[in-house]
Amino acid sequence: MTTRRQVLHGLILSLSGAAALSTFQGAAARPLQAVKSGAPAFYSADELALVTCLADAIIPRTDTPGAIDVGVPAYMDHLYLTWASAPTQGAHHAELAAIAGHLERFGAPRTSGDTKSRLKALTDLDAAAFAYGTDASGLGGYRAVKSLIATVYYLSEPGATQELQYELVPGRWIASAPIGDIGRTWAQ
Amino acid sequence: MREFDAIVIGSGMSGGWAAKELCEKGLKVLLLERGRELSVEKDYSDMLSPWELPNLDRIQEDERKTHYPMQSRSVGYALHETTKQFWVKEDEQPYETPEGAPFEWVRGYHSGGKSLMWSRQSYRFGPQDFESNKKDGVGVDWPIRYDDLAPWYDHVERFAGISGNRDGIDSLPDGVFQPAFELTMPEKAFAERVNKAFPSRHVIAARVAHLTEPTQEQIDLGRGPCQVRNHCHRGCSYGAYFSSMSATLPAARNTGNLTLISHAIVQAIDYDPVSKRATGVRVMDANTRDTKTYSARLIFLNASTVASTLIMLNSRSEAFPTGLANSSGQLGHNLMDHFGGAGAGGDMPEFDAYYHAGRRPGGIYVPNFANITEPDKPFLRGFGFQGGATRPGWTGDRPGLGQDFKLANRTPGSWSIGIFAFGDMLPNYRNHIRLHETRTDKWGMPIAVIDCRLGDNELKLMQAAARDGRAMIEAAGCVNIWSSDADNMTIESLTAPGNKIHEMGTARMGRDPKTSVLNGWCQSHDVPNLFITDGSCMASSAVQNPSLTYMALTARAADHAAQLMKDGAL
Repeated sequence: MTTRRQVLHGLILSLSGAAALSTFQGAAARPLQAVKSGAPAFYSADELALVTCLADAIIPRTDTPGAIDVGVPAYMDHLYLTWASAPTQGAHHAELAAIAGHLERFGAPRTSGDTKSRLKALTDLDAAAFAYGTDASGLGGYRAVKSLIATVYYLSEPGATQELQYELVPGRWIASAPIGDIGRTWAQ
Repeated sequence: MREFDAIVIGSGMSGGWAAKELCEKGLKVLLLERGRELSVEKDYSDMLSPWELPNLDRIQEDERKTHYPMQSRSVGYALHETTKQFWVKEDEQPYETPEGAPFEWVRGYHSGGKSLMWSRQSYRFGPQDFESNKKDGVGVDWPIRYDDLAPWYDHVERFAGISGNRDGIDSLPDGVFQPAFELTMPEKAFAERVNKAFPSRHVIAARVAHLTEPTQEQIDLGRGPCQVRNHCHRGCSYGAYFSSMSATLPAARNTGNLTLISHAIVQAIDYDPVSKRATGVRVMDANTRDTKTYSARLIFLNASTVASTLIMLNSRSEAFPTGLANSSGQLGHNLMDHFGGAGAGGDMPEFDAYYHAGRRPGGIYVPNFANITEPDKPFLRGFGFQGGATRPGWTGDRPGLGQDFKLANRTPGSWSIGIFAFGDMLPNYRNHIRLHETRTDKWGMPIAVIDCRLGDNELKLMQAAARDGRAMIEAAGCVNIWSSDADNMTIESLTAPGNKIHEMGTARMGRDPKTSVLNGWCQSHDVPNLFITDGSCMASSAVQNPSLTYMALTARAADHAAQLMKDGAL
């Protein structure tokens, strides 16, 4: 019988390549180290694997660092461990379980190797989640997790300063200038 | 012999001004602050980058629910893990409201009070605002007119530093301004198109208490120009926006005449029926609970509207059984706040070839036109709008994965403009603060019961604001227009009193001692050495953010009080 973990393993490999898989395996082997303080981690190994998979598929390494490079899964693990109340923690566990179920229903194969099918499953899930209103699709949990992954990434130092741009002390106000002169989206 | 000439109660927006003005006139001033003394180095978090903020700057959820249940909604934009030290823990500072009539009492107990967390919008009241009560037959007539206060607006603007344009609008007088923050292209287009479609309406740059061209006096106080970071709610290490911390308290200290005592909770003011003077201020130390009475010839009460009112109500004597200086019976009544509930907005993609740089601390302002340049509305008074145009940044809530997702977020969204109404709330005797009959706080002080409700005029006014706001957005050629639903608006859909943090009116100024607590100098009719110059003194609310008016009233009152002392009248 194929376990959920094997499904995720295959999904990560197909979507994200060896770099993410390495992160996934590392996280699975050393789950406590995902939390900076050494305190118990919030995510189970399977959940961490899923978040890692999603983070890497949504924001991969390109010409700038990706979500895995900046430590998004570990940040989220710490966030839910230390910020979230018990009900919010429970809701997040549930939404991750729901996302894993959605991925299977969208055709993510239970065994590794079928790269196209796995990528298609997440692509279809993403498309379905945005096809209607936030809740109409029943996929609001996926959108919420995706938004959080993006928030953690774009407010990380590489996300804010390499992928986008950020100035701690702008020191001047330019009300409007050709966008080519200003550059990319401000991270904040 | 007394150690102090004057006692100022509260170091916030108006108390800081009272202390500064009185110190600079040579008076030895004792400034009592119920909170702790803030440290720029330890308490400000404005030099942290986003990735240095713990947990996305979110307060742990259980902690937020326990300590900040109301404020996390009311001021959620400014209440974060790195700023929570500026906001009171609600469970430790209780008050009560009637069922179904919430009042959002937002507080900051520390040196500088709410002047550290304000939104810095700074507008003069206009001539019509001092005449409206008389004209409408509501409340009591202001005992002063605009011309009485105009030189004091000049005075406080020159010191505080207000950025703004000289717009030439009679109902929103120009002042002593430093250069304004330029409007964005969509905002300029909005201003032009609105004015063309509605010649009776104007859209101007927000006037904000930020230095853009500091004077030597401001530089000498250690203040520098605004760095356009818009991290103001974390404190400003540059001292670029006006606060007691950056401006009035340093100036008061420079005189050598200021003594500030922290953790000093004022419980009551003593009154001597023979001399008819306030003789002492009873204080409990917040930590040790030791009590002490300080005395001085002059007392300025600036604890903020609700707190000042509580102190007065709690200062009962045979001469004043319902509260100090309350022969009129008006003390605690006529509570007002601004209110919202109407907004409109839309996109202006025609300007998407342009972008901004820097994070400006203010946007646009639409001065009230209702019953001023557009008369005969089916309601009294009117509303102003605050707003601005921005380009939304990155979002995770968009479709797509991988490189496409990243590339999409490298370009900001279309320009979007929004305007949000601030309504004029009528003074109404029924809206009041009283002492709880049995319940006290942990220092033994009766807690506040606040009973304040918006009425039919407020609802009609805000419904009109929703319609007028939408009409202006449409006239500007926006697309994807949204607006509040005027037809289905109810009193419950308006913002609760207190939400705008402009509470005022509970010790109103007036000409007649029988119907008002204070005279035209913010001086008690009953107790001549007692002045109240925080929001309590206001006879009407107008629509403009009131802090600048509190400052001007305070400086004017301090000048008058010092003169009375010099003349031997006090």
